[in-house]
Amino acid sequence: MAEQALQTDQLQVLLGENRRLKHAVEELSILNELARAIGASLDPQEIIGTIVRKSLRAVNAEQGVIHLVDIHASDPMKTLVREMSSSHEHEHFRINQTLVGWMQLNRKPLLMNSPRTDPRFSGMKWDESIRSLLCVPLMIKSELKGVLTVYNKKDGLQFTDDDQRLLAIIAAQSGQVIENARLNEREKQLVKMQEELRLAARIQIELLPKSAPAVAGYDIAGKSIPAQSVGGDYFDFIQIDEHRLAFCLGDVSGKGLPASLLMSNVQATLRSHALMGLTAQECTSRSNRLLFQSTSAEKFVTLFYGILDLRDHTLLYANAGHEHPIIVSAKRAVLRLSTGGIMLGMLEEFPFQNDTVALNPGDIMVVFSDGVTEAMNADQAQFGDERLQEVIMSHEDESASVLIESIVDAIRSHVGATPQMDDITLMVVKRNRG
Amino acid sequence: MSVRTSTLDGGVGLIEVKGSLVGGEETDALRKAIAGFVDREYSKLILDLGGVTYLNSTAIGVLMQGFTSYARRNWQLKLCGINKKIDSIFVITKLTLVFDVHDTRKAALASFA
Repeated sequence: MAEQALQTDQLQVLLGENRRLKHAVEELSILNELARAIGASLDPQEIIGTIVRKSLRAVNAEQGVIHLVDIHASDPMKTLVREMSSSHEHEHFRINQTLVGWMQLNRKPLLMNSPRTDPRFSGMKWDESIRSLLCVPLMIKSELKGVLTVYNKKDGLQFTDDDQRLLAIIAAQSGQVIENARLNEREKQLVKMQEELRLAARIQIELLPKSAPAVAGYDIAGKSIPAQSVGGDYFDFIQIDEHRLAFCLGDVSGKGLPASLLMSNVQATLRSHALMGLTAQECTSRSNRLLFQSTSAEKFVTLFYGILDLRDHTLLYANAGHEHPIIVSAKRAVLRLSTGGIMLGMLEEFPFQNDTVALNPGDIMVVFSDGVTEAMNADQAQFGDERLQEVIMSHEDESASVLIESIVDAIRSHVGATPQMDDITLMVVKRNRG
Repeated sequence: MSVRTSTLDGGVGLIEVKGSLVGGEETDALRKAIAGFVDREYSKLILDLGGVTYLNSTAIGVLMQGFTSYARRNWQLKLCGINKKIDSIFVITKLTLVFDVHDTRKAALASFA
């Protein structure tokens, strides 16, 4: 009798052991499948879908969701992947802020088989069909990155400590994958932004003159090299009538997209004013007023605006805080066009002035932005006015466009490997000799 | 690069700027220093640019913002110590016509009515 009882006991022990082993094998097989699935795909959404499906199978639950936690986003909880265990229509359960808050504080698995009576969440309103839930944190380097939640153990059963342990292991295995999905999403956004920036740069290039106007007796060229993908410098040629051609070169404060948007605005304003036949001073004053009214004091534009009259070869100009253009004569005399006022957009009213200069045969006028003279090398030495004048003089017989390239080459050789900090813009107007 | 604030007798605020102002943290520090004096209602402010070696358009924007903040309240902001390195920027931009510019801090201080 006693021997039979002993055998029965041993049998029970062995059966128990067998059950545990079987369970362990099942768990290992789930984890193994999970590891294989994670390794088999490069698509984060697909991998995360697999994680949720495997989790549902592992703990025999009805519904599972992975949420990303991003405390900086407007909606700090983003549903990443939701999976149902059957085709049966389920309500989509929403994880709520209280639960996320608990997870942020405790950073450990949460098992609730009767959520409505759970003292940790008293007063919280649960979706009616939630009977039980199991929730585990997805951590990367001790930071909560997401939450994996499964709802309603099937067949009216309750989630067990074994379920909790297994889901926690799955979460630990999945953390990095979830993080990759997040990074992948960010990268997609970044690619989109870069695409928009590329588009803005293309629009801006389209706005700059593609070629200089052909004017009898003159050789004219212009070029702008932005420091970033979009720039704040601009130049333009505007044919006012058959005798008059307007030139403008401007530099908007700041860089990048905001500067380029303001630049486009200034260009449109100046074009419309120029075609009204206004003088340089009137054009500058009106643009100043418009700009002042539409921007803060911190935003301003430097501008050189000149109108070349081909009948008497005079240049009527006004300058709003812009680098003084250089005229090198055929006899190598250097003249700076220094009449001017403050930058556009700073004060609503400012007495800008017209000034006139004659362009004689052989004269070379160079209008440039501060990115030319202030281009700095590794020793913090600027390219400077003197170097610019030297390059103009040593290339006086070259065409306007070759002169521009020569100046750009000289700047590049001056700065060496130092990256370009500011937009470089140049406009050259040469009156032919004799 | 440094932005140092202090106060002088007669309720005058002083901001001393040194180094290169190129629109980074240092320019932000200058913007905050000016805003700090406006918040504390210092109606007289001296900006000593004696140690400034370079300033770009963003920095000029900050100076201009300071100018408008003070002018709007009928308060007084004076510049001093504009050295050779940054003189040409003030000449080209004609900011000397906008700001009340003095050679030295002493002269700026004496100029407050």
